[in-house]
Amino acid sequence: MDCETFERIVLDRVYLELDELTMGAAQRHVAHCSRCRSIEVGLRATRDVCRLPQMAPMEGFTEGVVAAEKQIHSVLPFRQRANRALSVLAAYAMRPQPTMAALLLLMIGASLFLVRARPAERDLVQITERGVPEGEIEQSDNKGNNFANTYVGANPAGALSSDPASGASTTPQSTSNAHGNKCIAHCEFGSNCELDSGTLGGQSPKADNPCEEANPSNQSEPQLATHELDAARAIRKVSGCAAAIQPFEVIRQKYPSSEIGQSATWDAAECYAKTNRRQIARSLLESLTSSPKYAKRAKSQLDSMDSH
Amino acid sequence: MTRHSEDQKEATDELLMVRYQRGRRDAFASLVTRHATTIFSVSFYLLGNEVQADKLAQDTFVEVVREAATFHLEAQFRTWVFGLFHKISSKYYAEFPDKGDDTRNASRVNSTDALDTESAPPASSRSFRSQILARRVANRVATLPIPMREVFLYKQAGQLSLQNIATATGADVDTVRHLLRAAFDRIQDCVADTEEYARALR
Repeated sequence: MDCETFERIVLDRVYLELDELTMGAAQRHVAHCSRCRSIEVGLRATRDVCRLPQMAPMEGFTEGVVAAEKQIHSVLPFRQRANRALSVLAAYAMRPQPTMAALLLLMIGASLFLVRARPAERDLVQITERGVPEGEIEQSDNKGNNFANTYVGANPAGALSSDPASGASTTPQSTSNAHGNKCIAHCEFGSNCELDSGTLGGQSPKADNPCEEANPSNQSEPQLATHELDAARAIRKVSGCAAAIQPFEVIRQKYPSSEIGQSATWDAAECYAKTNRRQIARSLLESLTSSPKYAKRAKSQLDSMDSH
Repeated sequence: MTRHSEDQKEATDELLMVRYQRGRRDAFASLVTRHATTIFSVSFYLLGNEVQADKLAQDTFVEVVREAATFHLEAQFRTWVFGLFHKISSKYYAEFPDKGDDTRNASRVNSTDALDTESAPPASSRSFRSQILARRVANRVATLPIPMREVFLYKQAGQLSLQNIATATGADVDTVRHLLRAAFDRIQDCVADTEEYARALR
């Protein structure tokens, strides 16, 4: 290190701000350069002599500054205030506890909306042959049952046409019956299905949509009778023959000479047979031997019962 | 003492400033308490008047409040504050031109009223000779040109490193060295005949 370099860094050396390497080089220089050594000594002495004493500020200085700071913040522009608020919020957001709490709340909230119930916890739904849930059939059956009871109690004679046995009302009844049978789609007895398809015969103008007439409120009286029979058959399907005997009997007695009544008689006979009341079943089948539609089948059934 | 105030006491200046940026006003109060004496001292030796020095120091801290958002954790708080101080004091020189007038200051030195008895440093713990010497140095400092005076005071009263003085004043380090060396040379002439200087040489 030469004198010029030393003079440039001498103040750094006096204030001990040199790195170790330069400090060593300067030390070696002043060891053999008396001029630079005297400069350094003079500057050190001046530094020590010129230490100015610290002055305490006037009384209330800090309070005054803090008050000024409050005043500044009270009139802080909106942008700075917003930035400050954002900074405070960000400082809290950076802490792990609020972040974890926020995540937990988010997970709970999301699970309430997104997570579905497990399949096993759902109610079981059985689909019938009609392709609708079983519960709906029960509802319609109940409606039919109630309707039948009301109908019987109110005015059975007036409920149907004044001439229930007339042939004029038979054909639409059969058509509706066929529609209803199609809707219920019970084919426990092959004969019934045959009968229904035969009765339908493509005569109904609404043959493409047989279930369209299933609503009792929009139906005429023969249609209502058909619906009663459908309801009774539904009861038989759902609750069994023992429960269905009474509705069949009601229909049979209400429409004794009509096709609906004969169908109800046939169904009632089957139910009696299944519940081992063969005597009643036999008497009902015998009453059907005079019906052109059921005579053959009734005789066949009687023969079968005799053979057993 | 609460744990909170103990934290404030142990925290660095930079950490306190960051806390203040995040809305902790007590951190600012701690910073003021910590640096008021230094800022006021530099201000006093720079202006030579206690009332104006108080105002300059207060304005500096108010500027800290206004510029708080510009402070970065990587910066040294003391350097940053002296940067603000330098900016504010420059406005003072423009507002009160006599503060930078060397001739007027020199006349004060001659009449020894630049630092009168009331505004002189407290001398209870110092010997009378030291008190006289301090006043002599202060008066000599008051005659220095403003840049030279600033650099000298930042170093001697502000305890800033040469590099930090350069950062605070916006000058390069070699300029700071040159100004400080010139200030030392001038003050050395003033104190060279004192007993304290002779003792320091030994």
